[in-house]
Amino acid sequence: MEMTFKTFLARPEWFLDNTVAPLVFTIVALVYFKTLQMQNFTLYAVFGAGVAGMWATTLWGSGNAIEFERWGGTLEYTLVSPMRLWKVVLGRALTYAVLGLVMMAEVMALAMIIFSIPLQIGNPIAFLISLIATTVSFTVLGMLFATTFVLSRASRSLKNLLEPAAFALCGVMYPVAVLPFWVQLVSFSLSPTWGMETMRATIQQEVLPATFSWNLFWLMIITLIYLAISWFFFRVVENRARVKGELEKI
Amino acid sequence: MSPRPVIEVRNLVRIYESEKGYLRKKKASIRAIDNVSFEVFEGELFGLVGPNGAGKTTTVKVLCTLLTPTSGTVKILGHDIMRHAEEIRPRINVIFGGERGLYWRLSGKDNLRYFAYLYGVNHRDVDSRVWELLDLVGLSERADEKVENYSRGMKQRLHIAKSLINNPEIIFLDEPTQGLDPEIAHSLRRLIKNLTREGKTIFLTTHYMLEADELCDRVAVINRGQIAALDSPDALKKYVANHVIIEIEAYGAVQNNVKDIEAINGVSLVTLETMEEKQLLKVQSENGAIVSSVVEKLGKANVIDVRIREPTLEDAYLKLVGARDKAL
Repeated sequence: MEMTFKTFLARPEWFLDNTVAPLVFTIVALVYFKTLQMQNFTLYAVFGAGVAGMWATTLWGSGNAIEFERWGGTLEYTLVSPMRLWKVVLGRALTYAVLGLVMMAEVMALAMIIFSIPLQIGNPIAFLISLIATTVSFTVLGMLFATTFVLSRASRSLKNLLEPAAFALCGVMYPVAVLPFWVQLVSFSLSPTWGMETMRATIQQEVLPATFSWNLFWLMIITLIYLAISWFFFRVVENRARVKGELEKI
Repeated sequence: MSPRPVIEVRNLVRIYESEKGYLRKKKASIRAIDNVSFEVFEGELFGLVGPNGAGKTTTVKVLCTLLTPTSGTVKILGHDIMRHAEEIRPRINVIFGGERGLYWRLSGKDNLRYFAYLYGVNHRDVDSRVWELLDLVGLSERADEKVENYSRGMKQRLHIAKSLINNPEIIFLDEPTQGLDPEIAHSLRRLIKNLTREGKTIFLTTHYMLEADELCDRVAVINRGQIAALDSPDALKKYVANHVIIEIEAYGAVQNNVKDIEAINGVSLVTLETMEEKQLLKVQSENGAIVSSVVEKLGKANVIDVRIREPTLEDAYLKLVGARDKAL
């Protein structure tokens, strides 16, 4: 994590991509939602933008880090080392998930300072638990995507496709209930949806323990499923990388 | 007691599958390594030489567990690379050559620290190990500088330090001096030679014959994926022991001249190299008295220098590679 963080800081363009650019998106969202004079402003606009920032950072981090390794020729050195690839990617994904949390804090600070939005959280402890669970879930999801980034040279396009798709499918800025039923089936198989639902449940003034527990339960179950799939994919990816031998092609 | 083999390669074949075309894709296969067998012994500096595309890098990648063989067996330190890669990896290290493979925006010290973690070096020993290696390769004073500010030679020295981070028993060096200026290449070769004094086994690929001659205990010549010869540099030179090398510098020598010279009785190999505006013609012959015939065959070319010298490892290599190419 230390080296990933140092690499991140050493690249001003990455810093701009992950801290300044999402803030611009957030400002647009906040202005838009505020104009609508909608209820639950905090629920959708502020935390929606925050989770969007977390998601973008995690996905960007896991995807770009692998692509960056491929460009730099360090991916081969990583694969011939005794360290298993999943551990290396876990370190990368976790670093970017933590940076995603910084992003969330940035958004909240922006909402409070620039837009004078009072942020009231119904149950701060439950909120903290849901935030940690969502961060872990994003980390695991980042690892899952990273497996495809190891073998595919189209990783940047895939990342660009996944970012808005997740915003739309996971109800980042609106409740999933407004989506068509068949789309909701897809939405509820994605962990960011449950992460959003869990956090929203803790922000409301009267936090319902049953709703919170139910959302948290599914967030954890889906995260565990992602973990199992990514563990399997890592084995497949390592074997395929050795068989195909195309890692150095950029 | 005979030295124990630490690298055992038996009938190794590696085929790359690729696709041709855009809309109607056709599968194509390239036989990069074709039925190769050899052994490398503990503490030996073993060279694999060959032209570009001969299969050197593919061989290194298979041996260091990055690639799977299509067929054949490879054992490293007694372990099969297919079944026991996780036992092999902590005990070997590799340099793939070129400037890539380092984190350019991190310092040299941080690069080594990162690879120390990858190789499971004890956390308490990491810093001392890193400084020890930076001292060894002469980079201590630039340790905190970003690698992007390093010269090519410094990056190669950092690669060498990186390859020693886990104190490996075998180091694979894939063309480590490629693109370096002669002075830096010389200091790097000295560094490599010193490693064998510490008992390390080194597997070196290169296409610089001088380097192979200077460093290696034994050399395998690989061409088109097959081993053309394997022996000590001195023994390989015997392939051209009864030959002399006639070197002719000229302006205007062309490929047709080469064909004419090859037809002269006693000539075994002719190569033509272009050096800016002039050409260097190398003729291997059992008979030094054919010089006038060779010059005569150059016709209108303007001959500016003629030398006759003893054969070197490079001449032996050219004969081995050239003879094989002719046969194919």
